[in-house]
Amino acid sequence: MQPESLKSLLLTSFPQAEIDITDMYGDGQHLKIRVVSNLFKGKSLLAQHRMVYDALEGIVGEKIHAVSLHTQEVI
Amino acid sequence: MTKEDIAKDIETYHVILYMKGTREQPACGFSAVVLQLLKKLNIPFECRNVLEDPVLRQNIKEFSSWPTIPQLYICGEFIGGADIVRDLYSSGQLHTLLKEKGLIAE
Repeated sequence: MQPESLKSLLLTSFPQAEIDITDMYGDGQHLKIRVVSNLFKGKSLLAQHRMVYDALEGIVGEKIHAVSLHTQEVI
Repeated sequence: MTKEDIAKDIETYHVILYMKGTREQPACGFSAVVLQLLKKLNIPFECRNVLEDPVLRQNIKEFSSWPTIPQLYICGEFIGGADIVRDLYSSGQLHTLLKEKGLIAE
């Protein structure tokens, strides 16, 4: 899946978030996703990652094989 | 392995890692990361190789509501995948959690 479409998808769930997506091997299958959003405030890392997976609506495991997630609230 | 089996599994073993590959030969980089950290912590842990059991591979994802492998459980609680475990390890939170559960001395 193209990083740009993923970014748009994530922006619908995390408006105004800082989102970086890196295609680690250039195959669209191993992505590094970084989301910085105030919606993560006060949430555990696990909860933050679940929010991202929910936002990705099942794409991980289907269209994307592996995702390295980095989430944090806005500092 | 059914979901009932998984539920029993995580209750039976204090620390259990659902991974790709085995303890001796991890088959994926992310699984290898968690394995390595668990070994460094020097605690007993159980491993399950999802590559050997396609039913487990699917069921664990539904059971945990988590789309990827590896998956670490401590005292029946889902901790996370490689990114989270790595983060908890570096911040010392993993160590603290294990101490709280009486799984590590110091």
